[in-house]
Amino acid sequence: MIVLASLIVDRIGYGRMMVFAFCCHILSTVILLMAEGYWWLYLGTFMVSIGNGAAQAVADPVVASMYRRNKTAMLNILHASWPAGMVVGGVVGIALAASDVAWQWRIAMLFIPMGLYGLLLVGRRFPVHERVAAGVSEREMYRETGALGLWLVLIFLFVEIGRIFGLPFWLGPALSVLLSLGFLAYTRSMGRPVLLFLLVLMIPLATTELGTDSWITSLMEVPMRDMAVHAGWVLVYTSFIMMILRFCAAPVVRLLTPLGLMVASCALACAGLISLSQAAGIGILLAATLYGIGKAYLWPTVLGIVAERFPRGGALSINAVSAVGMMSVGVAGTVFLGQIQDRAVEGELRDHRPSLHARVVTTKASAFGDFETVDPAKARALPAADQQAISELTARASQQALATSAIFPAVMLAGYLFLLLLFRRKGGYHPVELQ
Amino acid sequence: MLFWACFTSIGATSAVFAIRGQVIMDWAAEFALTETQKGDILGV
Repeated sequence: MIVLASLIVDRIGYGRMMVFAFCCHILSTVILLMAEGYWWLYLGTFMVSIGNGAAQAVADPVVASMYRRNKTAMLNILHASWPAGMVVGGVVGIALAASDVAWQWRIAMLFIPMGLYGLLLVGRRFPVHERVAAGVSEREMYRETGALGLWLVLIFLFVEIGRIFGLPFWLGPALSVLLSLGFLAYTRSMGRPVLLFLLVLMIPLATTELGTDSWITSLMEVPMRDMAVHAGWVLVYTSFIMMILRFCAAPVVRLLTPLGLMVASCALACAGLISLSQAAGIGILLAATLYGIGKAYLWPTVLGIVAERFPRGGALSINAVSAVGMMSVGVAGTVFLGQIQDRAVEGELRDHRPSLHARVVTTKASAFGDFETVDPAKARALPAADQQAISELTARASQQALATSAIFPAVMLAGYLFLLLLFRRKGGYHPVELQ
Repeated sequence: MLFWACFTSIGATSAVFAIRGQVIMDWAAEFALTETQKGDILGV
């Protein structure tokens, strides 16, 4: 939805698109409240995702257009809203967990933030995107992202659609190539090299920021339980750190420059993941804090760099970055992370409990090749003592495997260091201003 | 004010994610959802 919306948002107007997002949000909440089965729930959450995509397709380019001299810092502040929503939602969830409140009341509470943004929209005049104001045509906008940029978006989109509907795997890549060739014929552009490089780097970025969340949350549950604290506070705590850091982004961006901030953030995220793989007890909380600081600025700072360096790309280039990030994490990132964990558990079993290994490990196929993993059905059939041994071994191996996942911020670190040096050779990083 | 409208719209989006994660088990119990169906709903 986010890419579709960005193709037309400048033509139909940001205000109308935001009204559409608002209607989708309200309608989806009503559908969820009236749900009578799976398909109602699916329809309701599908409508929500359309509303989310439309809102995001408006918010990023609008804020970039409103604050043309301060895009990276203001996009960071805008994206403090994401962890803020998680903090509020998490606190409400914990507060209601002890009571016997029906799920309908929790869903109904979504009307509060939705109604609030609906009210704030009344009577507002949206700016014209700087691309439109500068008279840059839509075709010029498409040329910035180019055929390769569009292909990066479409490949993940079609592979995901194919997975949901059980279509043959080849169909997604084939359709994405076909449509990108059509786009190439129209734009006669493969895309701007640096923008394409940033799009590719969104794959490890999204995996670092979103893919490891549930992994680390489950890792932190034990020390939180030892401290007699509700496990839900883990998410509230990490989201709160992220929210505060993003709110305070302006001086950090000024001090380090956007590319310098990306290099520093990648290094911190890398160190955080390696520390998490070795930490124990309260140390896990400290390592998670380091990791949280590292990943806080990543996503909105990339949006800022794209908005500052590629203003001719308009809403499409900035939203393509978000789209590649969001879709790649589901299609590739979490699958790859899952395999890192599975392989670590299998290796640990083979080395320390070979007899158990022979009884529970099976070979599975995946997009990244065949791999050996524990078969949950076989594991469940084992005696309780063996199940307990596998469970402890899995927890230990999963934690150690976090060090392997540090490869994602390490790849990004190399990529952003390269960009930093590239821009330094060209006289330094400066935002591009359209006349 | 427009900035805060955009801010709140993204905040509402993330609140949806937070609340959906909290009620999925209630939905699973009430509507007898399978693991795949739960994954479909959370993955949309």
